[in-house]
Amino acid sequence: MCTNNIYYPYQMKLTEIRDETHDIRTFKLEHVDPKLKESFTFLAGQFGLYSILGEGEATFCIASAPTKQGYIECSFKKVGKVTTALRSLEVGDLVGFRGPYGNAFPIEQMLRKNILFVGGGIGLAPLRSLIDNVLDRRAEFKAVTILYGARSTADIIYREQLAAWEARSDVRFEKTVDQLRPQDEGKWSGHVGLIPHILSKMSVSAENSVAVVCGPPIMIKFTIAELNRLGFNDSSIITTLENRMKCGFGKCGRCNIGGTYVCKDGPVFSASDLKGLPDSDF
Amino acid sequence: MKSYNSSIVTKQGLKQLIENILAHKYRLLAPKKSGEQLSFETILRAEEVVLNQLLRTMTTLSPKEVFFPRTEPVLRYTGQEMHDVEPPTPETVLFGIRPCDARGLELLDKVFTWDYNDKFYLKRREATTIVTFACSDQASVDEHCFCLGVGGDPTASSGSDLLLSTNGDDAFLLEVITEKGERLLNSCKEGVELQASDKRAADQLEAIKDRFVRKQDLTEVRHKMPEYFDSDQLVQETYRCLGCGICAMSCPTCHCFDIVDEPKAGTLGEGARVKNWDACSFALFTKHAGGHNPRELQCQRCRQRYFHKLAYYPQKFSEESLCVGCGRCSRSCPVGLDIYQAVTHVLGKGRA
Ligand SMILES: Cc1cc2nc3c(=O)[nH]c(=O)nc-3n(C[C@H](O)[C@H](O)[C@H](O)COP(=O)(O)OP(=O)(O)OC[C@H]3O[C@@H](n4cnc5c(N)ncnc54)[C@H](O)[C@@H]3O)c2cc1C
Ligand code: SF4
Ligand code: SF4
Ligand code: FES
Repeated sequence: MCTNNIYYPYQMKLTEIRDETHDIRTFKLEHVDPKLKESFTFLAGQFGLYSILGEGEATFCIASAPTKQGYIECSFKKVGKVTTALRSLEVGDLVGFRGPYGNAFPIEQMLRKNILFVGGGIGLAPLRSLIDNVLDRRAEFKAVTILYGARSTADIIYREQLAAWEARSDVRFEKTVDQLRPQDEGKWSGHVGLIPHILSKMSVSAENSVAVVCGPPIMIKFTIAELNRLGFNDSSIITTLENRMKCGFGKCGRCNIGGTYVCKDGPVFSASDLKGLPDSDF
Repeated sequence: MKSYNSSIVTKQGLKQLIENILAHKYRLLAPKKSGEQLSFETILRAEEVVLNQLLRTMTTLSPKEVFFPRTEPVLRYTGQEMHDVEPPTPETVLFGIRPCDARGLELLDKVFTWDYNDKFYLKRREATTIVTFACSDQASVDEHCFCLGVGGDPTASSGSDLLLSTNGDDAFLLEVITEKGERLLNSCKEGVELQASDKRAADQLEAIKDRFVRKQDLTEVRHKMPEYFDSDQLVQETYRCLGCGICAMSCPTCHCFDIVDEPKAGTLGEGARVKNWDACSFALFTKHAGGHNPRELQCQRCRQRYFHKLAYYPQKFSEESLCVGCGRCSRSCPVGLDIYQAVTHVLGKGRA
């Protein structure tokens, strides 16, 4: 083990693989070093750099909850070199991990409030860590509402998890797809339409509430606008950014928006934080 | 802080000092002609250090690569096995850098120690003693230099361990700035005649200031950022940028890098994870996996470079600008882009 090389990853063993969609896969990873497996902690919202020797590193959030100890999960979409290489791994293979990096969701500020989670596409990954964390401490929060949207029924991730949330009596769960495909006819029980539109019809109250929004940049933009219309002020809207990263700790200069480093000052921001940043840079 | 101590040393004495540095098995790096360019090279014989030349011409590339090489392994691997890498750190004397470059290193220190210490940079810094040449010669300052406009000073000692400046025709003033500098001098001064003096390089500052054609203060830009961020003037100034990245490569303080795995050719499963210089002027630099690019246009990327230096860094790390005004970027830009000119235009202060 190496302690003073900040670029040196931990080794983690791949212990479970789940296919979420045709191009999104979830890995369950456990530290090879038993001591680390015991001592490793992180906070919901943090991220890491996952790597394969010879292929490189890629940034993913930690998608499992910090309350689930002994392992972490990540879900990734196949988009390029490293994510393609990761897909070739099998249970038992090794994955490099650097992290956890970044700030975290301000869960302490959410206690005793109504929480509205809005997730779009693979943006449910960082949200899932927080939702599970909140549900594991359910009594400390008021009403919990989850709205999840995907492009089509084929793009829905964490199906089992969604069903479990939907089945809970202490959670209001809504789901939507942008469009229905012919083969979905009669099989889809959720909404059809874009997230901000569905949100506008859900009659959620902004009173004593915090909204947490994760998804692609365009969805975040329109969802924040809709939440504002519903009466949420910017400081009670929380989101995450996914600017491209290399180092994860403020050196490589890739992730900044103005003077704000997404890797160190984020990736979690409030909508009021975002509005203080130079607009066109994210 | 050590109280300074200065001495006068003749040209001959300085040559002897260089001989001694070599005799003591230090690795000596100094500006040397390499093809058409002046660059920091390993010096094997004292005559290779051409004092006159080094006072007159700025190196094309900055000395940052002594500490932050353009490419370097951060780990090596053989199959599934990883090996840590130690940066090579021979005791080094970096001789003949400019005050702007020395200050640039202090600015980089803040980045490479921000909560996470980058040992590759820091170990090299520890192993290196910096002997700076103040820009005291008639010809040291050219029409691109603008250190005065970004809080610098052509005679300043910050970042240096020893500071040399000219003192008449055939002699130099040698100031000891740090204990590290003192250690180097003590170990290498046999046969070097040092005549105590109460002068300092800074005494010449007023006279040197007159040689600058670029004296506008750029630091003000940081206080009016929102206003300048969407400046049409800046778009007009920068739309012709080619995105070649030469500015960033030659800059003493640009520190963007990429991390990639490079398999070793002709082997099965051997290679290294390397840190490579990168630049915010490259179109793919910030492109997301989903295709979205926060800085889609070349003028947005130029703006990023200028404002990172003049507004974002000061906001994040200290009141200092990340640009030290060395002028390298404008000397080398193939289309004549010029941070000083662009920013002074934006500030509405007219052409320099
Ligand atoms: C904080 C954070 C959290 C994240 N969390 C997740 C997550 O949980 N799950 C997830 O799936 N993703 C996540 N991402 C995104 C993820 O990091 C990227 O999808 C991943 O790094 C892509 O790696 P890659 O090597 O497969 O892609 P690369 O090979 O690097 O390519 C990715 C994309 O970059 C562009 N590109 C790169 N090189 C070129 C080139 N030569 N020419 C043209 N275009 C090029 C293209 O758009 C390409 O599709 C997160 C990102 C951040 C910053
Ligand atoms: S400013 Fe000049 S040197 Fe820098 S990227 Fe643009 S064209 Fe190249
Ligand atoms: S931005 Fe240009 S002038 Fe400023 S330090 Fe870098 S190379 Fe020198
Ligand atoms: S990812 Fe390197 S500075 Fe943020």
